[in-house]
Amino acid sequence: MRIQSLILAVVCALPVFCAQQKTAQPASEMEKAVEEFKVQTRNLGLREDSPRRARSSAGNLVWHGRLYENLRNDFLDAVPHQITQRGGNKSLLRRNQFGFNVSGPVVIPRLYSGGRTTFFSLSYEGMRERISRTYLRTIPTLAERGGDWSETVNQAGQLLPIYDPSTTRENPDFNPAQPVSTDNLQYIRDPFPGNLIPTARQDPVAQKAVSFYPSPNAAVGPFFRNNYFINTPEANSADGVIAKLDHAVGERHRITSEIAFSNGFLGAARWFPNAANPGDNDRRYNSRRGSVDYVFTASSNTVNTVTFAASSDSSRYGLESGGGTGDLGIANAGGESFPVLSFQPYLAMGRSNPSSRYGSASFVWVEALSLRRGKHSLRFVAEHINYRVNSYGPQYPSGYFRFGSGLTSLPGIVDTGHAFASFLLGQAEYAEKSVVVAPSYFRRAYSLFVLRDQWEVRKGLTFSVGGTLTRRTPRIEKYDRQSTIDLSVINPANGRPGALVAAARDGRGRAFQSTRVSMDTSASLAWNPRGSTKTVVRASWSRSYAMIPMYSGQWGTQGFNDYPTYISSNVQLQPAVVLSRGLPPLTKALPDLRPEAANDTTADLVDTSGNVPVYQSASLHIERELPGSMMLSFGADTSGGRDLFLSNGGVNPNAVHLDYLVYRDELNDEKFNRALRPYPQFKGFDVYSAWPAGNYHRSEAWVRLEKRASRGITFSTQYEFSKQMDDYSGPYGKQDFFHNQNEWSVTTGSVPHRLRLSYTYELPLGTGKGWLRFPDWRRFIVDGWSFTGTGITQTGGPIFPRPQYNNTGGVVQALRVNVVPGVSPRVKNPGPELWFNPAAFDQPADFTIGNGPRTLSSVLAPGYLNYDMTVNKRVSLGADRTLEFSVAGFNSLNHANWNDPDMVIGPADAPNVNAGKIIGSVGGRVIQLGLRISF
Amino acid sequence: MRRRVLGICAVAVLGSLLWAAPKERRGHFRIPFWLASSGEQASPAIRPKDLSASLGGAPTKVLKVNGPEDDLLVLVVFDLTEYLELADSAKQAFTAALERLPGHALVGLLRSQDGLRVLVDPTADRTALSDAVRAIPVSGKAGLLETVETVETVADAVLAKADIRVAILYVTDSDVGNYREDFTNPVINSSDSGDLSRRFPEQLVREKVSRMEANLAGRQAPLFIVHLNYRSDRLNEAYQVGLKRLAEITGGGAEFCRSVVEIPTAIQKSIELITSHYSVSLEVPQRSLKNVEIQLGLAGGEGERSLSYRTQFAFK
Repeated sequence: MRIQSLILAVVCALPVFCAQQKTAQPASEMEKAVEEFKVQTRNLGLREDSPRRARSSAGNLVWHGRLYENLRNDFLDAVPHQITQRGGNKSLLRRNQFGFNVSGPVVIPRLYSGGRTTFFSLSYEGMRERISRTYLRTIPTLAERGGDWSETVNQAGQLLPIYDPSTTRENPDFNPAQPVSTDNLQYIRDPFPGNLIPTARQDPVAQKAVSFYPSPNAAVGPFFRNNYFINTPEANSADGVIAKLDHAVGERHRITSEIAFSNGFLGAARWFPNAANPGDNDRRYNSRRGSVDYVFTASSNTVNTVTFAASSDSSRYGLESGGGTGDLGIANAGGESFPVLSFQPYLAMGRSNPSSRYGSASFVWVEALSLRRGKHSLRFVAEHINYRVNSYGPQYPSGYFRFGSGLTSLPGIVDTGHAFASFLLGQAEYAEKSVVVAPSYFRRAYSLFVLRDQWEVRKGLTFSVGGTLTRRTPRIEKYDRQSTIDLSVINPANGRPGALVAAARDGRGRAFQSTRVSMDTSASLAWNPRGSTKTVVRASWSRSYAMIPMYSGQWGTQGFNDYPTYISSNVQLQPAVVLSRGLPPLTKALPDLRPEAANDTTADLVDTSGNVPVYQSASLHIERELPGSMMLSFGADTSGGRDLFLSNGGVNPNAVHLDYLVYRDELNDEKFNRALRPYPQFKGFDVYSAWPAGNYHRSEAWVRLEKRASRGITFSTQYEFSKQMDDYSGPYGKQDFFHNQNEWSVTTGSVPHRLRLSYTYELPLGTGKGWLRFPDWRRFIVDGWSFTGTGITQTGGPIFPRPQYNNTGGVVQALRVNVVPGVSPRVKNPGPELWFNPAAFDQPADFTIGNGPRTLSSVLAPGYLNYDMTVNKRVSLGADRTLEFSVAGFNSLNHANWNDPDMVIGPADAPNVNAGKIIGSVGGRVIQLGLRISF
Repeated sequence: MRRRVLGICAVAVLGSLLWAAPKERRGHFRIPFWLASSGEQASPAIRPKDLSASLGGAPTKVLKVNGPEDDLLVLVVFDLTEYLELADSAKQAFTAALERLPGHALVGLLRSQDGLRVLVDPTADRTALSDAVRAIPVSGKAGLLETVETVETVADAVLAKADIRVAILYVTDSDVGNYREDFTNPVINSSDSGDLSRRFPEQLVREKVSRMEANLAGRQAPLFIVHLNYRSDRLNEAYQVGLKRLAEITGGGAEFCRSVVEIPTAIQKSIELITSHYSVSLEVPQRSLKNVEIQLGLAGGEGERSLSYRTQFAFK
C-alpha cells in the first residue's frame, strides 16, 4: 500500500514537476518583453483586464492648465508718430489681460471620478484697459463761430465770400439760354459786408449749439484746416469664460458640450467733453454660446455626429458719455439727446443712435454622417439654422439737421458760401427725425443638405465632388411689422408706380422675398504626377450662392415707425428748416400703412427680385518638396461674383439719368428734379446694403517657401501678386447708375503686391542644443530662449481723386475728376511733399460728369509695413511645469506708415493747395510683457 | 563705479556658467543608431568592440549592441480622429508593411484617440494585427501629445527588462485644435479689439512641445510619427514642427503627408527605419551629468561608413 501510494504520488507529481521544470527555464528575451509590456500596460490601466482602479486613473489624468498675465504700459512704448507730429509726448496705455485655463478629468470627491471618460476644460480671461485714441479733424475757428468770415479762405487760399440769403432776388438780366455763371446769374445775392455775419442775424439755437464746440488746438493746415487734434482715452473692460465637458460612453459614444459667455464694456473716447460729443457711443456687449455634440462611431468606417448649438450677442449703446442732452430748445425735435448738426467739412455735433440696442441669436442643428465605402469617402450633412435679430435703434431721436453751403452761396456759383455759415443762420437744407415706437424682431431660417464624395480614382489621383442643396427663407418679423415700397403698385398720390405695402396685409405674405432653393457645387482634385510623393498638384472649382442678409437695424419697418423728413425746395434758395422755428409738430398716427405714407421720404426699399450673390472660384496650386526640409508652393487663383449686395452708394433705383444734366441749374429745384426721377414721389431709396447688383473679379498668383524646423529655424515666406476689379467699391459711390460698365475699375484697397514673412528661431543654447549645455542651475538661465516674428510689407491700393465741388443739382452722388490729357499723375520721387501730380486731374465743369476712372491704379497710395516680434524665455520648473516670460514688440521697428494723400482736386482757378500731399503718418511700437505659468 | 559693478556681475555670471560641479551617477542606457548603407551589406552585425562612444567628451564603455537581426518590438499607436479616406489608406499601407516585417519583429497595437488603449498585445500574428487595424475607429479627440510619454514609459520599461530593440510608431491625422487640452488659445472676449496676445497663437503648443521634449530627452526608445494630413495654418505648422522635434529628440523621425499617395511611402519608410535600427547600450560613467552629448563612432575598419544617431540624452 505504501509502495502503491509512493508510485501514485510519483506518477501524479511527475507532470507537475515537469511543468515546474518547464516554467523554471529562462524565458526568451522577447517573452520577457511581452510580459513586461502586459504588466506595464495593465498597471497603467490601458487594458481591458486592468484593475478597475488603474483603468479609472489611466492616461492623462492629471489636470493641466495655465495662469497668465499680459501687461502693456505706455512707459514701455514708443510715442506714436501721429502724436509726436502734433507736439505730444504721451499716448496713454494701461492694459492688463489676465486669465487661466485648467483642464483634466472630472473628479468630484466621493461622488464621481471621471477617470478616462469625463473631461473638462475651463478658461477665464479678464481685461482692463485705458488707451488713447487720436483723431485729427477740422472745427470752425473762433472767429467763424462769432460770424467773422473775413479770414476764411477756400482750398486755394482765396477769400471765401459768404452771402446773405435774405437779399436773394431774381436777376432781371438773366439769360436762360446761357449757363449760370458770375456773368449770368439767375439770382442775385449780396455778400455780408466785410464777410461778417452780424450777431443779430445769427440763429439763437445755433449760437447756443456753438458754445459746445471746444477750441481749436492744432494748426496742421493748410490754412485753418486740421485744427483739432483729439488725444483722449477710451476705457475698456471685458470678462469671459469658456467651459467644455467631454464624456465618453463606452467605445462608441461621445458627448461634448461647450458653453461660453463674455461681457464687455467700451467707454468710448470723448471727442467733446459735453453733450455735443460726435464720437462713438459707449457700448455694452454680451455674448453667449452653447453647443452639444453627440458622436456615434458605428464602425471603423462609419461615424455619425449630431450637433445642437445656440448663440446670442447683444449690444447696448447708451448715453453714459453724453453728458446730458444740451437742451438746445429746437421745437418738436425731441429732447432725449443732443441733435445731430452736420455741416461738412467741419466736424459735426451730436451723434446718431444715441440710445439703441441690438441682439442676435442663432440656433443650429446639424446631422453629419461620414462613410468610407471602397475607394469612396462619403459625407452627408443635414443642417438647419434659425436666425433672430432684435433691434431698437432710433437713429435721430432728437433730429438730424444738415446744412449746406448753398444758402450762403451766390446761387449757382461754386466756391462761395459755407455750410457752417448757413448753420449760424439756422438754415438747414435737410432735416429728419426718427420716431421708433417698438423694437423689431426679425427671423429667418435656412436648411441645407450636403453630399460630398472623395474618390481615389487611382494611385496618386484623388477627385472630390460636392453639392449643397440649400433652402433659404426670407426675413420675417415676429409681429409682421415690415413694410417696403412695391415698385409695381400704383401710388394714389400721383398715379405713378411705387407705393408703401406692409407684410401679411392685403393678401401679401409675411415676407417680401420668396423662399429660394439653390445648389452650391464644388469639385477638386489632388494629383501626384507620375506617382511622385514630392510633388502635389491641386486644382479646385466652386460655385456658391449667398444668403439673403439680415442686418441689425430697423430698415424695412417704415410704416410702423415715423421718419418725418424735411426737404428744401431749393437748397440754394430755401431752407428746409430754421433751427429757431423748430420742426413742425408730429401728428401722424402709427402705424401708417397708407400707400402714400412714405412719400417725400428716403423710403426703405427691399429687393424682391429673388437674386442673391453668386460666387465662383477656381485655383491651381503646385507643391514641391525640396531638400533641407523645404517646401516650395506656388499657385494661381481666380474668383468672381455677380449680384453682390450693394449699399446706397452702389445702387440707386431712383437716380436721375445723366442725360438730364442738360437742365443744369433747374435741377436745383427739388420739384423739377424729382419729376425726372423714375419714382418722383420719393426723395430717394434706402436699400441698406441688400440690393443684389454688384460684380467683381479677382486674379491672384503667389509663391511660398517654407522651411520646417531644422537647426531650430522654422520660417515661411509668401509673395502675392493680385488684381481685383469691381463696379461698386466706391469709395464714394457710383457716378453713373445706368451704365455699370462705366464703373468697372480696380477695387478700392486692392493691393497688388504683398510679401509676408514669419519665423521661429530657437536659440541653439542649453539642454539638448549645440552650445552651453549645463546640468545645474545655469540651465535656468541658458535654456529655453526663442524668437518669433511676423512681418508684412505691401504696396498701397489705387488712389481715387475726387473733385472739390459737385455742382450737378443732386443728380450725381459721386462725381469723378476729369483727366488732363498728356499729364502724368506720377511724380519722380513720391513722398509726403507730393505723392502724385494733382495737375493730371481737373474739376469737371458744372453739370458735367468727370471722365476719370473711379479708382486709378497707375498710382498707388502709400504702402504698409509692419513687423511684430516676440522674445520668449522658458524656464522649466519640473517635468510638468514651466514658467514662460515673453516680450512682444508690435510694430517693433517703430515704423511710421504714411497716411493717404489728399485726393481732393479743386478747379483750375482755385486749386486745392494740399492736393497730392500727405499729412502725417501713423504707428508706434507697442511692447507687451507676458508671464505664463503652465502646469 | 556703475560700470565696474556691472562688469563684476557679468564676470561672475559668465564664470559660473562656464564652471560646473560634477555629480555621481551609475548605470546604463540605450540609444538607437543607424548605419549608413554602403551598398554592399545593408545590415552587418556590429559588436560592442566595433564601436567607440563618449558621453560629454569622456569615453564610455559600450556594453551591448543589438542589430537588425535581433529581436524587435514595435509599439504601433493609431491616433485617427477625422479623415476616413486618409485613415483607410494608412491602414492599408500599414497592413502591407506588416507583411514585410521580419519574423523576429513583434508588433503591439494601441490607439490613442480618446485615451490610450491596448488593442493587441505584442504578437507576430500578422492576421490578428491586420484585423485589429481595420477595426480601429476614426473619430474622437486627438491623443498623441497626451499619450506619447506614457508609451515611451512602457517602451523604456520593456527595454529595461529585455535585451531587445524597441521602437514606437504613431500614425496620426490629428489637428492641434482637436485636443482635450486647449492649445489654440481661442478668443474668449470677442469685444476686446485691442487683444494682441493672440498675434502669436502658436506659443501654447510650442510650450507644450518644449516641456515634452525635455521629458522625452531621457527616453530610450526611438519615436516615429507619420502624420497623414499636413496642414499649413500657423497653429498646425507649429504643432507639426513640434511633432518632428519630439520624434527627433528620441532619435526617431517624423513624416508628413500632403496627399494620399504619400501615406504608404511614409509608413514604409518609417517601418524600414525601425527594422534597420541598431540599439547600443552605453555605460553611464561615474562622473555623470544630467544632460550629455553623445558621440558614437565605428572603430577599426568600418571607418568609411558613417553612423546616424541621437546626440543628446538627459538623465533623470
